[in-house]
Amino acid sequence: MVLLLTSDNEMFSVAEDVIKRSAYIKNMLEDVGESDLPIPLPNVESNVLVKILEYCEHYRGEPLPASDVDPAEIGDRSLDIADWDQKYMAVDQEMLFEIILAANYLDIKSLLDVGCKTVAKMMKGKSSEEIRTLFNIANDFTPEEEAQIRKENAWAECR
Amino acid sequence: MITSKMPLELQLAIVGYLDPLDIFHLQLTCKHLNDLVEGSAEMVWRNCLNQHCLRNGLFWPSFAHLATVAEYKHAATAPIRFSAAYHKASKNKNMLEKKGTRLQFPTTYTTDSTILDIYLIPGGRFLATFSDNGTTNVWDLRAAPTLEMVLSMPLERFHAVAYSNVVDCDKVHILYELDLEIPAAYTATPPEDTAMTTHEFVELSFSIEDHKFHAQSSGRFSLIHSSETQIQAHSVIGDKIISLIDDVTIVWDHKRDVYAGWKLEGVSTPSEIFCNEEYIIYITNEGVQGITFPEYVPVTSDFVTLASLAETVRTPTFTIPFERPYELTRTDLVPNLAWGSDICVPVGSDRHFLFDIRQSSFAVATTGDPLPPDADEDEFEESELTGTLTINRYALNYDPQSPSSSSLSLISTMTHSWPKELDNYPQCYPAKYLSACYYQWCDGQQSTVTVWSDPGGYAAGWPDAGHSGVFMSLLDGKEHLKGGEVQIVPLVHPHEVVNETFLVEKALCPATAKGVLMWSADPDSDEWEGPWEWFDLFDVV
Repeated sequence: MVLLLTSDNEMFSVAEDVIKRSAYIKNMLEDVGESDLPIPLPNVESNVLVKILEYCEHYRGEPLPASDVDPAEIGDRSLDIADWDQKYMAVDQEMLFEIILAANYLDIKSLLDVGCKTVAKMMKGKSSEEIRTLFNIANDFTPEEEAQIRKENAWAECR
Repeated sequence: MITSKMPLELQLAIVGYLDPLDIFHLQLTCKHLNDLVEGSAEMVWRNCLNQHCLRNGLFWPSFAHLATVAEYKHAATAPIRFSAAYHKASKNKNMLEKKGTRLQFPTTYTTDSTILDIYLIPGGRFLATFSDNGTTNVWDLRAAPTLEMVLSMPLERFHAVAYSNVVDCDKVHILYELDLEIPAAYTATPPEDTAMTTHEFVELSFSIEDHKFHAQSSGRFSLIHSSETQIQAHSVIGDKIISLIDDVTIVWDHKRDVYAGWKLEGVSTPSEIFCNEEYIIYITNEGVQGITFPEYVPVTSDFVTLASLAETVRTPTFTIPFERPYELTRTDLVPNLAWGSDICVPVGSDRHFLFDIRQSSFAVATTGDPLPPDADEDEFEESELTGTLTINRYALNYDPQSPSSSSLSLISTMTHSWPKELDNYPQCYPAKYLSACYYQWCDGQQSTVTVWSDPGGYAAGWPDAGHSGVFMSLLDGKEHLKGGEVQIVPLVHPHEVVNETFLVEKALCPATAKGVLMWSADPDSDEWEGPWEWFDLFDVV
C-alpha cells in the first residue's frame, strides 16, 4: 500500500497497482523504493483525490500507456470519449478543472486527455455568447476590437 | 474564465481539439482567449491543418511549401471557406464561382503518348498521370499553370488504378492493374475463356530535400480466372490486398510476398471485405462475418489460378447478424453499398471497426410512361424526381477472446435528399442523372460533407458525349450535419468548354475542393488523342 497526504491533510492508503496509473507516483516509487512515509500531494485536495482514485480504480489492471510516447506527436484529436469516462466526467465545472489540474500534476495522461476533451466538447459548436454564458466569461472587448477580429476572420461569417 | 487558472499548455491542449470555427468563436469570447490563440497561432493552425490531413487522408507534403501562419490558417480553413462560398451562392441562387486555370505541360515534355488515367493525390497539389507508353508521372501543380514533373517511372502494360490511398499522411499507396500476357506455361483452359489480372503495388513518398517523388514497387501477383469473372469486393489494408472473386477470397501480402485463398461456405455474397490483424471481416446482406487468417503460401510462380484456390473451403469463425437485412451491392455507382472500414485503435478497453452502409434511391414520378434512362431532357420537365442518400454507420465492437460475443451497433443514421429545385439551375441535369460518386467529409465527421456528383455517371460513370461538364457540391446547409434536404449549388465549367469539348478524365480531391479535368475535342475518339485541356476546377478556396 502507498500512503498519500492531500493538501487538506487527509491521509489515503492506496494499493500500489491502482495509483501506478499516475506516472508521477510510479516514478517516485521506483526512485525511492518501499517507504512507510506518506507522499505529500500539496496541489490536490482530498475531495479531488477521491475522484482521481475512482478513475484509477476503474482502470486497474488495464495496461499503462507507454512512457516513451512523444507528447508532441500528432494523433487524431477526435472527441470520442468512452461511455464510462463520460459519466465519470459528469461533474460541476469547478471539479472538472480540479480533476484536469490534478491529472496534470499526477501525470495521468489518459485522464488528462479525457478532461481536455470534455472541456473541448463543451465548447464545440457553440457561439461566442454561448461559450461566455457556459463558462461565465465577461466580454471585455471594445466594439472596435471585436469588429477587428471578425474582419480578420471573414471566412467564418459569410454563412 | 476558469481555464485561465490552468497552465498555458493545458489551455492549448483544449484548443487543439477544436475545429477552425470553434476556435474563431473562442477568440471572440474575451481578450484572454483571443490572446491565447493569437499568441500560439502557428501551433494552433498547424495543428488544425494536421487534423484536416489526418481526418481526410490528405497527403501532408501537399502543404510542405507553406511557411507562414497566414498560409497555415488559409489551408486549414479551406473546407469552411469553401462551405461559406457555397452557402453564399446557394442563398443567391447562383452557381459557385470558380477560377479555372488551364494547365500546361513544361515545354521540355513531349506528349507523344496517350494518357490513360489521372489521379490527384489527396491534398490537391500532386497529379499522377498514367500513359500508354509505359510511364507513370507525378506532376507538381504548385506553380500552375505550369506542371513540374517530380516523378517519372516506367510501368509496363498499365491497365487501371485499382486502389490508391494516403497512408500516415506521408506515403501514397497505389495498386495498379496490369494487362500482361498469360504465360505459356498455363494450358488448363482454352485461352478465349481465360483472363489474367496482375496487380502491382507501389509506394510513393515525397522528399522535401530534392523536391522529388520516390517510388518503391513491391512485386506482382497474377491471378488467372475465367474471363467472365468479376471482382466482387476489393480492399487494401496495410500490406494486405484482399479480393473477392467468384466467392473466393484472395489475400496477397505484398510485403512478405505470400498469399492465401479460400472459398467461404455459409456466407451470402459479401459486398465489402476488410481485415485487422486477427480477422478478415465480411459485410453481407445479413450481417458481419469474420474468419481467422489461414497459413500463407509464398508466391513462387508467375501466376496462381482461381480454381486452385477455390478448392480450399472454410466456414466463418463468427457471425453477427444485422437487425434487418440489407440489399447491398458492390459497385461505386450503384446505390446500395457497404463502405468500410476505418479500423479504430483500441479505445479504453473497446476495440472496434467502423463501417458505413450507404443506401440511395431515386424515384421518378411522371405524368406518362416511366422514362427510359436515355430520355430527352425536355421530357424530364414533366416528371417529379426525388432521391435520397442514407448513411448508416455501424461499429463492430469485437472481443478477441470470444469473437461470437462481439456486438454490432448502429451508431448513426443520416439521410440526405436531393431537392427538386435542382432542375431549375441553368445547365443542370435532372436529378435522375445524379449519383454520389465522390463523397467525403470535408471538415470533420460531424460537420460539412461534400458529395461530388457526376450527371450521367448513373449508368456508366462518364457523362454521355455532349452532356459533359456539371459537377456539384452537396452540403447540408448547417454547421453540423444531421441529414435532411441537401442544398445543391452546381459548379459548372465555362460554357464554351461544355459546348465544344468533352470530358475525358477527371481527378478530384473533395476535401480540398480541388480538381483536374481533361478535355478532348473529339467525342468519338476512344484513344483520346484529341487536344488536352486541363483545368484546375475548384479554385474557390
